[in-house]
Amino acid sequence: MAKTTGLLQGTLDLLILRTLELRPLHGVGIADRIEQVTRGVFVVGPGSLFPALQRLAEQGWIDGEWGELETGRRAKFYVLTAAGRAQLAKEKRTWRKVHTAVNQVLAEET
Amino acid sequence: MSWISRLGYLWQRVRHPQRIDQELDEEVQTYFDILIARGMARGLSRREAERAARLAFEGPEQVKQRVREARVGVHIEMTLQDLRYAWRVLRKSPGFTFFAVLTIALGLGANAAIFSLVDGVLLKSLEYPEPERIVQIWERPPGDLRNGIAAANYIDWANQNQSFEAIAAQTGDTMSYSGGGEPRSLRVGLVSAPYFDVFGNQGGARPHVRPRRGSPRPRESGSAHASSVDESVRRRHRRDRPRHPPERHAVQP
Repeated sequence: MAKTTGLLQGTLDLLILRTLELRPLHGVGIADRIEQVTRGVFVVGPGSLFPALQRLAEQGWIDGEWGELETGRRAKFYVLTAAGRAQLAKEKRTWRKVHTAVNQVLAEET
Repeated sequence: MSWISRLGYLWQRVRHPQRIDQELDEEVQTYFDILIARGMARGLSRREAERAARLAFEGPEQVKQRVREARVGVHIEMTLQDLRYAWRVLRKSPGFTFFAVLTIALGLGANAAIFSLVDGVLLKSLEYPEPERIVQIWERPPGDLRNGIAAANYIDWANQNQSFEAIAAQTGDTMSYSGGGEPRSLRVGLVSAPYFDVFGNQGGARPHVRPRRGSPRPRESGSAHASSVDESVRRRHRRDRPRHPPERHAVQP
């Protein structure tokens, strides 16, 4: 928790959609993957992850399907839907725009 | 079409509330069990691993509560819960319910009464044509709020008037009516002739205006200064008539 940088509103949705673009994952898998790829900058706790998954599923962007872990335990795996893919493309564009704009502002400083 | 998807989720929750909750239970439990298993793999005891998972994040119950709060239609659900709770409380204590209902009823009644008063006095327009052009004129002596106006002053005002279309005077009186059968005492209003220029002739009823002989005449008005008006007219004017006789009414140009 201590390592978490304050997540921008909406950034978590983008990170989850991007993570599921590669393959279906369950809750822990998603959190692990985000932490790994961002090298521990983003640690997503279950208190943010599960509500976000609920929201994204309700939007129709992801779908939850029950599957089995290696241990034989049931777990819910999330899959990106076609609508989710379209949404991800849209959010990527928006993010790049914001990213470029903020960088330009920061470049002014130096 | 995300709203269709959200409606679908809402419908599922209405139809299978228990199954949805069980699935959430299982999903969150699995999450924590995996964390605990990892802790134990690092050499922690089961209790230590549980504690670590709870400390690092929130407990399973808090997580589930957050998911429930994120769900679509959560406000409807919470409102319904509140209503059900309120209904139970009210049914359990009829005494409290009685006074609560009484309080609301009195509040509503008082508000309705105040509104009808404000509506009648302030909001509804007067029945005269162009009421916004009618003003009431008083004299204001030093140290007093207002007083009646001497007839001679009124005549001077009416003669020298350049600002108003017409100026009329009015005062109240009591008179005996002996037209038929028992004589009756009537409250009457005495008004000067331009009264009907000021307030207009309403509803086509012709007021009965009778010039009084030998009364002083304002230069321009050309008609009687004081007149008696029959009772039906007085009655029609009673609601809107000012209460402080004698007064002067005037119409601004």
